[in-house]
Amino acid sequence: MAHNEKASISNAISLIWNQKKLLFNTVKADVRNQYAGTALGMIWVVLGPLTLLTLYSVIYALIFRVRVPNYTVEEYILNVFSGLVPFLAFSQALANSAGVMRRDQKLFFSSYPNLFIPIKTVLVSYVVLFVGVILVIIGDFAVSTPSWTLFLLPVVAFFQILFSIGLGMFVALFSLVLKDIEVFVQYVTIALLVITPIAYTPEMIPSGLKTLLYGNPLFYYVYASQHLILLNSLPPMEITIIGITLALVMFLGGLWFYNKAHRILNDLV
Amino acid sequence: MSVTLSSGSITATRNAGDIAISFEEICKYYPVFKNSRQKLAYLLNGAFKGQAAGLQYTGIVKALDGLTVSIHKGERVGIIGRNGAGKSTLLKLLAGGFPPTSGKIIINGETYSLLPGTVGFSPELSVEENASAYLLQFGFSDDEIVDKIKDIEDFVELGKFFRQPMKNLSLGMRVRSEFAAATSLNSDILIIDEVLGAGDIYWAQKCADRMQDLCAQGRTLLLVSHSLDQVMKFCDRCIWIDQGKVVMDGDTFEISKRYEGFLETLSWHTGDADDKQVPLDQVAPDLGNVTLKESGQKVVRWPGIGDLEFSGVWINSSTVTQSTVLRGDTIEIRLQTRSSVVKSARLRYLINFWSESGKRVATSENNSESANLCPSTSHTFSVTIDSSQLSVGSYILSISLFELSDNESAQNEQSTRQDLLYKSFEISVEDLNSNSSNQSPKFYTEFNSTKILD
Repeated sequence: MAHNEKASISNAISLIWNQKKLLFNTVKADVRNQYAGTALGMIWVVLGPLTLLTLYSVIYALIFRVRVPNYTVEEYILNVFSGLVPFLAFSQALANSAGVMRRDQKLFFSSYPNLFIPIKTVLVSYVVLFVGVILVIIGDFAVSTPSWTLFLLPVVAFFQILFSIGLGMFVALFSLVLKDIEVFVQYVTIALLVITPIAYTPEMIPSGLKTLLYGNPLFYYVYASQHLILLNSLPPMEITIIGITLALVMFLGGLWFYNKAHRILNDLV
Repeated sequence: MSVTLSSGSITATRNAGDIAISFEEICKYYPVFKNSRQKLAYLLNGAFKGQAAGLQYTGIVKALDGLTVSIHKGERVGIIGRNGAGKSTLLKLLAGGFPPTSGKIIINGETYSLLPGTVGFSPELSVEENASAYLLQFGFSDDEIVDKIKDIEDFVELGKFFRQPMKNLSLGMRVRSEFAAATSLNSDILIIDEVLGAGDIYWAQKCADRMQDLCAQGRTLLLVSHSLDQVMKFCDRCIWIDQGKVVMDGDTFEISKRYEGFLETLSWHTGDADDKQVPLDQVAPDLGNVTLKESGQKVVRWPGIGDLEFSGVWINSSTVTQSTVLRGDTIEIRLQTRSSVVKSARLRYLINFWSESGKRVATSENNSESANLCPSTSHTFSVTIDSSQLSVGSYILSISLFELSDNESAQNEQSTRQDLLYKSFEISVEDLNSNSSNQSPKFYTEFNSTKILD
């Protein structure tokens, strides 16, 4: 309810920190709500990603018969997994952020901090990442050689989530005035699936097309995850730096813009 | 006039002061956009320039236009007004989330607003799960939630339905559950919008008791409703708003009377009470105030054809508006009418008795009376009512005059209202034997050609 006139980024961050329990609880309730009434209930949280991952792996490994040097078929599938999991979370967050202010009007006109609306939407979408990462780690133990670098996966996930939250705020706000964004993100998602090195490795891309690779923000997080899981090494320094910078810039930019715009949001909802 | 960026403020405080909510000169204008481009420009200019320059819109809607209200702690205030009067905007501002276009809002205490749909229970979850998720949103601890869920379960009396998906529940049960959850929050200020409509008398009473309990604990209640019955039941004070301004603020009975009169005037003239094209001077507190020419009381007149009007009312020969009778005595009401034209007409008089809570409890009417009327003399009609047919208490009287069509056949008799003095007289029926308690049976028998309503 505290409505600060000069809401700045720093007190937006402290709001998130101070009310993290509230945020966590709404995310929890939303996830539960998503599967309420289904026969399998919360099993879907695991079953959903598992089905998709299996499907993609079968297509790439058994139908397209993609082979990557130095990888066994099982390791290749694991590589697809470790790219698909961040992709799924990212694309869901993007899709759910579009139009969320309209869908969650009831929260907007309540004492619930409205800044949390885009944030919780992204967090709910990232539950799949949490589940997926556990599946991938199990896979790593089963078919490849796990290493200590697995412990750094949460760090990568953290920065990817920051990036998604920042982007989600822009998408949430702009889709309020431009409904076309809700349609547009569907195609962006498909494009991302193609240009992100999930079914192939970055080395397989012709040098002329590398721009496509580096211009894709998701690439940095996917590439880092694949290093930690399969290559058992830290991602290259420039990838790490760009990934972290992108995340911070997008997150702070999103918060800044949200703070600027939230005063007039009610005129647009 | 233009939409500028919100420069108003909402201050949330928590102090021991007497004021719970204060609105000072609140304006809230909504821009109307022609297309997405205007919206986009509005968003970008609004966010980056932080000023009105460059804001594009095709029109504005003045939802609130200089509204000033202050509400004390523990008050139960009803807010009434037509559709589009600004009620919802007022509530949204109170709920937080955005500032007004201009003006200052001070909210002293924790607010909870039960706007339609804000509770947002999922149909797939049970009341228990929904309530628990809902309470979590407000940051209660696990122990507190267990207590509150118990309280909600006791209140809603749903039995096994408490643990079934809410889609299996009736609308009344769902509303009841949301009400129980919302009122379990124990916020200082409770804002309720039209939610008590669904439910039978038992539930209406149970909800009323719960709200009364909350108010007794010093909570402030704001009830927004189309239903004057609800407002009269819960609120001592009432605020009538129209076109974003306060029209009248004060005693609920007095205001409900004016508001009903206003709606009546609108439908009499336009046939559409939601038609907003009414000049504000017609939405006036003194709407319908008149003084009877011959007996001199100040009364409220609702519109009628008007070539025939009441010119005087005597109750037991007295010209005061408030009178007292002993139960068992007769009430003699003498009505004088004056016509502006010479004519002969068949007249019917109708007297409605309202209880203090706004319920119509009895009506009395004559069959019809033929009269030769002319402007120079008044016409007198008397009715005698046996007060032993009324239970002890206060009654408010509305007196109407109808002119019946010449068509003598009783089936399709047409009547036209000539005049109506609305809730303008009060009669207290007292018991000689017991002066304190009102033990007399609450039933009404038929008297004369009188219909008794339940």
